[in-house]
Amino acid sequence: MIQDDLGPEEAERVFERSYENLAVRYSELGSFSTLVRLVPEALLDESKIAVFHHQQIQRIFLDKVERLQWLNRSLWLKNQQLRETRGELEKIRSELETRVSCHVART
Amino acid sequence: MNRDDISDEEVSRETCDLVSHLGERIDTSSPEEAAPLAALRRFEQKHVDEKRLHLPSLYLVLEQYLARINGQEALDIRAIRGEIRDRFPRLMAVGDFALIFKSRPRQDVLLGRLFLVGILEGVGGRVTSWPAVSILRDTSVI
Repeated sequence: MIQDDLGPEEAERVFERSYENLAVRYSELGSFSTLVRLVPEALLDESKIAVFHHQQIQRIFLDKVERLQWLNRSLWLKNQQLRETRGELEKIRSELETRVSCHVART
Repeated sequence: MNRDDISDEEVSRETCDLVSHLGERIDTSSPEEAAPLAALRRFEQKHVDEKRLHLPSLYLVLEQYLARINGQEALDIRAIRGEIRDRFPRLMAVGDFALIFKSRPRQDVLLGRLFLVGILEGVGGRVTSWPAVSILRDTSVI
């Protein structure tokens, strides 16, 4: 981590400078909002977001919504897998219980 | 990005032509002409090196103006870029400027790369485990 090597304040300055150098040239470019994904969230303050146009903010928002939907879908799939695994385990337990009770009855 | 394959004199000449070409299309009777005209004036007062640096931002301001209002007719940004690419092919050798004319996914990659180059330059070798800036500057990798 850059913070570990340079310290948090110097790391912040390095990120800020790099961001500002690009903002001077490309803040009007539609794809400039891409950088939001690269800037650490802790450094994303109002001044950085203020340079974006309506369309860029819309894109950031849609990206976040898309990411949220992807996370929700992943969570749903994991839940589904967990439910299936639990179902299988319960089936095995019930089979085992049946076998044990049969065995006890025979003995 | 790689150092551009075009001389400073040629960039200066082409930039001049581009700026006057775009400047001619500003409708001075439009109430929205103040911002592009001010950007043009600021640009013209800059030193040659600074002009090279600020060419992308000036172009984008003028492009947005032209797309928003050009007399009665709004122009499509893609059409404007196509026209500029055809009319000023030598300027497409200026990497920082040419970025604007790339496809959207490539713009994303190049912006990310420039951001990382800026960070690596800022770090200045203080983090030795990081790759050299030259690796990221090599645009032929992508």
